[in-house]
Amino acid sequence: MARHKQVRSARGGQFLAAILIGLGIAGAFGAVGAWRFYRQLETQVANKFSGRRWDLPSRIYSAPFALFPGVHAERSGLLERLSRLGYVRVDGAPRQPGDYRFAEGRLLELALRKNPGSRDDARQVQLQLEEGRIVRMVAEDDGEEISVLELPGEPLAGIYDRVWESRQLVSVAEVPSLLVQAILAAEDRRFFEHAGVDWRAVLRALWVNMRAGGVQQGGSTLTQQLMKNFFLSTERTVQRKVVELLMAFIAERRYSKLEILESYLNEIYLGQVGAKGIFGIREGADFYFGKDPGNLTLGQTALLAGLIQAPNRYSPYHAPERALKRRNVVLNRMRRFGMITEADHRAAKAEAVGVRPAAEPPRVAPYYVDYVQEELAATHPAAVLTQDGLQIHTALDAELQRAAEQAVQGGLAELEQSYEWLRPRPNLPSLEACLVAIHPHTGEIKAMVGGRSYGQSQFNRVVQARRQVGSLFKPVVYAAALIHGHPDGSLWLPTSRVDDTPFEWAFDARVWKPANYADEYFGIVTIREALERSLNAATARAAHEVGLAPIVSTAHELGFDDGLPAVPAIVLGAGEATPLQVARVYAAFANDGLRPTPLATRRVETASGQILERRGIQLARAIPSDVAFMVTHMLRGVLERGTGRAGQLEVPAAGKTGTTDAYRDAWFAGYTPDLVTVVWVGFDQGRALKLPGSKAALPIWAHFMRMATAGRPGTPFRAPPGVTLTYIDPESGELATDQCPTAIEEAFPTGASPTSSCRIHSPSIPVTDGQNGGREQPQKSDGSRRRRWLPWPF
Amino acid sequence: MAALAVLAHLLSIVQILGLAACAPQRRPAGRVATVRRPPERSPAEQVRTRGAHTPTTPRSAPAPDAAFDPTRAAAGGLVEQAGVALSEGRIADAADLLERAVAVDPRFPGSYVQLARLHVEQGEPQLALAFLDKAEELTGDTATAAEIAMLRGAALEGLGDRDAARRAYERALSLTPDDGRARAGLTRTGGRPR
Repeated sequence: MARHKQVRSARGGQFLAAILIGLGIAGAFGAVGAWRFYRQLETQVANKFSGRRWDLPSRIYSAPFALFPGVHAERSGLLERLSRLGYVRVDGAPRQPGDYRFAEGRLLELALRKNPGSRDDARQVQLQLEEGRIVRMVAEDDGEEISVLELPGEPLAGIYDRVWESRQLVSVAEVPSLLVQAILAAEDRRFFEHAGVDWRAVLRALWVNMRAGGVQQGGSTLTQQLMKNFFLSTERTVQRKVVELLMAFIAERRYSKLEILESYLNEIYLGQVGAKGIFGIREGADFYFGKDPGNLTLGQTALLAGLIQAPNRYSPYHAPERALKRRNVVLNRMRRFGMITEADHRAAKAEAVGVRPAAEPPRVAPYYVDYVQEELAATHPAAVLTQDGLQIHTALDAELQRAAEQAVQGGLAELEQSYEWLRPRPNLPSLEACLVAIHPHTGEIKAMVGGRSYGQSQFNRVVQARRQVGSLFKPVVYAAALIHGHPDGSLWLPTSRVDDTPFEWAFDARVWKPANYADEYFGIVTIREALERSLNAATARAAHEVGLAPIVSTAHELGFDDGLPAVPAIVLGAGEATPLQVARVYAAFANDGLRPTPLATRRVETASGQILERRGIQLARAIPSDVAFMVTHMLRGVLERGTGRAGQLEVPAAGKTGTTDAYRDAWFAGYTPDLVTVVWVGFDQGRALKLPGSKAALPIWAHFMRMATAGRPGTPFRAPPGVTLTYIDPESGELATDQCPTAIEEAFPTGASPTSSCRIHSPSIPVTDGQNGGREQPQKSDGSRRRRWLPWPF
Repeated sequence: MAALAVLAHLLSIVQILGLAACAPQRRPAGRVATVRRPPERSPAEQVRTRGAHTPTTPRSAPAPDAAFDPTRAAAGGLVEQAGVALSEGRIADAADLLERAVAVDPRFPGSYVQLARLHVEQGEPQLALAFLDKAEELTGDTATAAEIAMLRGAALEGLGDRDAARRAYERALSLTPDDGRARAGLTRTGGRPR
């Protein structure tokens, strides 16, 4: 029995020893595993802190806006621009940078914000207005007059990988202590006392949650929150919480409180607008208040700190009352913890929420932004664009872009309403339009609308759609004529005559027969008339005399690409081009014959403002300046009397309609001295539009140009050296006299203007055959006369 | 050589500030706080700002216009800021400001002259020539025309076209016979100063 007991006892001891050994081994393995896990976490934390902590999306900005006397404050969209830049309209005198007061349309007082990257200090200025127009700008500090003032570009979009985290980094030294205290009061009062975990807060949260029977309160410190945001998911599991605690402990061991705090201030999530997330305290202050953190009031500081707990729940835009309550909770805590005085507490609680107007949807000018991204892709790797926080400054004018979008949308809606066959039909693509506007002297692309809806189609017709240009090509033909002259060496002039009757051009054993619109012909006409009325037969005859080679060469110089076929039909626009190419050609006419290179991206800077790339104005001589001016002068007639007369503006303008075979494409290309705009309307698949350019594209062009030229000082077209302007009688082409019923101002090369007075309308000078220019009555191609010749201009 | 480059740089700054002064002056809203009185404009400048033409009047005929032109003043302000940027070695900022001056007042020759100068100094003579073309069409006063001819000479020299450069220097000297730079350019390109 005793032996049996001994055996049992020995077995029990062995068993116990085995368990202990097993436990020991398991413990050793566990300890090694735990140690390795800990080391792994440590490496993770260290890598995060020592490496790139955030991917900073690049930001794309519009062009700066120049203010100077003569600019109309309201019509130029100044107030809207200020609002988009985060300026807040106040009733009293502006005190804070970013405030402005607009006093009865007579005075605009502006407390300028310091521009990012600018060395200039923030300052206050007064803009004195008369009838809405700026007449004087004065610095408030010393009363000195200011000649020009520039508002910075507006943010248009971000370039990001998958998630758009909008963030502006800030150092802890730049953050006012009051803001830090507000955050500590709201989130982690003992941040500077604990070692990563605030056990008192944890126990308090446990007690509250147990009593409530669910999660009501968290006890996470700033360090824990930071670790969670950096590395962990938002799921609420014990496992995740343990890892979070360990990581917080590691971070606190390895890094100073200030390093952790700085990371936290840049990491926290503060809200959402569309696809864009607002991250970090500087971005948050800018987004909600249009200010730097250093300029926030106490109330704004508390509101921002209060948002951290649940940014969308306490959003001052979506739930202003809840936001106010939450702000007051933070203020109460600050007072309770002795961070602010009672007087400050009372004053801050009396503050209105005072957020800046709700931000625009973040994707402004999407076709333009795509174009900029494509430009940049050639020189900057995608990872750099999505992670390095580059600042990309473009040429876009935000206000013109809005006008362009409005003109295209409104124009298409009107066309669909007016013409039944253009209305959307099931299974058929909708009518499309695009618009591009460029500054002819710089080549800057000021506005770009690539189609009716970016959401439906990202195909950017401005740069990707090559279409026949139709009559938009005619000015090129006449430019070539003015440059190269007649075969006998004599000059072509705007008053030169050409026969507008049915015409055949034999070429490569084929015969080309250009026909006029509505098959109507006008006999002998001047080239000015041919251009104003867009006469095909007359233009083809002139082109035949000039020759294809000089025309093709002139077209290339002006900016049409090398793909133009050297066949007669190109003289009436059978060649293809994109709207942007057309804009470049017309920009050369507007810019004294100098062809600008279109510019969208102007400057690329690092996040700290160091310039990586700059794209400057590039001009190249395309045609002589006197020829450019004579073409412009004739194209003014298109808007004054010709096919474009429905699009007249209040400022000097020139332009040309374009319609292609079977009415597939409708165009209008036109310009003032300072803005060239091209509009195309049609169907992507080439379905017939059944409307000419004057009916489909011109209204959109005119709508846009009226908005674009409102509020800016108008400028005249200026004759270059070598051009003489002379009033002539349009019938005789000779100097106008008092007896002439009409007289028009015509541009001639100096020395080639007429010297004799009109003999048709002067009774003392006999009129002989041919002196009326050999005009004939307009007739159909079958020879029948259709209508009487109307006195020109009609 | 380095001393020459520094001298050329200093000259550019002085000339930029000088050309900005051709515009009616008010203080630009930048760091510059200097205020100058608007100088009297030359008759040719006055013609430029008129823009519209009287029938049968050739462009070169003078016409009186003493009105203050705020657009020109704004462009002048930006050109002045460009001068300051250049003096601080901020070449890209200077170029940006000059280009913005072109956008504000495309008819102010001063912006084009200074852009041309920057491009000559940056070794981009082809670009400079286009700006000089533009400036030449806009300017009417002798001093600016001489400066344009001088810069054209330098740009053409940069392109290796000595004959054309020589002609440009000759023109510059015909307009301002005391211009030492044009004289030196003429000598370099094989011409003989008179």
